[in-house]
Amino acid sequence: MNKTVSIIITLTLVIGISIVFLGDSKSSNNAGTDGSVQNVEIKDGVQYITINAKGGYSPKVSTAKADIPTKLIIKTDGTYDCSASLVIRSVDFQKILAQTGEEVIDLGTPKAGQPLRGICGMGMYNFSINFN
Amino acid sequence: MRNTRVNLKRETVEIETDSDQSLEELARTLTDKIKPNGYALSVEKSIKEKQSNDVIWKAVPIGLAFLILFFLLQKSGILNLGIGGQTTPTTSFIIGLIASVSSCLAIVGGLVLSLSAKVSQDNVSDTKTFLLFHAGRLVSFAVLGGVLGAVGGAIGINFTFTAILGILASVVMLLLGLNLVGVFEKNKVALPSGIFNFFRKIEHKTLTPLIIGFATFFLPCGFTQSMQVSALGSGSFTSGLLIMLAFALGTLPMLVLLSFGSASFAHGKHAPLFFKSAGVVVIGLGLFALFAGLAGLGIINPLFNI
Repeated sequence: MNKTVSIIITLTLVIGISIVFLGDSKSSNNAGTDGSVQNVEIKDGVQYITINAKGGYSPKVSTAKADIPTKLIIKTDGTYDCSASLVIRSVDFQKILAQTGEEVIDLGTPKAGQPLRGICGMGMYNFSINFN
Repeated sequence: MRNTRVNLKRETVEIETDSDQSLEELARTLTDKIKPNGYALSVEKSIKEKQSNDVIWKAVPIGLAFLILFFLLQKSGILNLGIGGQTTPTTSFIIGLIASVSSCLAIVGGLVLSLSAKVSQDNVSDTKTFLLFHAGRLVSFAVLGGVLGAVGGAIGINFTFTAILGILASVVMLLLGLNLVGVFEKNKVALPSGIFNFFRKIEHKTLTPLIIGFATFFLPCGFTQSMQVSALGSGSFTSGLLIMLAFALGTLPMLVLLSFGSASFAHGKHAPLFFKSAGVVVIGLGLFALFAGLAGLGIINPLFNI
């Protein structure tokens, strides 16, 4: 194989791999018809944020209110992949979630401007919640 | 001995000596002395493939193409099959099949590929080594699964521990990958009693592949961890054993393909191309596992979300 040809192919492949990594994931099939997701609700003065864990977390980025008691609900449904082993360092949470079920995590009263990040044990999937 | 000259570029050492030993004898005596450093003397000119420079230009695109295919597969979401309900040995077998082509392959498969290629390259009896590795893996999964079921306590499910083990594995993969591509060959300077001597030494031990097979139980992999939790909750030695054994059996075909596949390539005529392509794949997977592992430990921000 010609060296030049090979360099061109290599460059194309490098561009391809960066698209795979940096491009938007199309697999977020939980989005509503209008494209946005309603995953935050306030009931009896407590804010509930729901995140689905299966082959990654969805929604990946949520926005919630600061300064009210908040609970995070992680829903699993036949989840066997990395997203079942959840780590949230800021609240010291580490657990391998049940394959199907709901995990309620108390986030206390989050302050504005301190986003919360959850990541799966191997570090392949993550999600974040912004408070304002 | 009167005089020696070393030529790194041509890989020759010129030696003038008063000794009346024959050339072959001389080479043998000297080889014995320098063997610990990874060198050998020969009276025959070693036949080095002249095209090794061209090979790397073929190997890089091939390796990258495999990496793209692999990550596209992860991103496609095909692997997120819904398997609900109770975990039975049948479902854990299927989950093993899925896990063996999932992102877990980046760590476990990458490790198997790099070690297999290295073992074949160094002409260790590879069939025996691979058999021991796979046997060690199956047996330790079964036994540890049984223990999990019986004890009901958490072994190996410490996140920090598995993450550190994963980072260790990715560093090994990076080193072996660079070695397969031939980066260290270029420098020609052997690390004295360094890492590669260590590898060379442990490769020949019977116990090593068994231990590595055993260690894969603790490597960070979401699927493995889910199965460990299922085994934990299963309540008895037998059920835990069956769950983990079925899972390990499910991952077996892909891993067998990787190890024995690399061995058959390694003895074929495209061996140099195979080693270099495998090196590129292993480096890619190693980098991925390393960054993901560091992100998992909270040391760096997550770089990707596949």
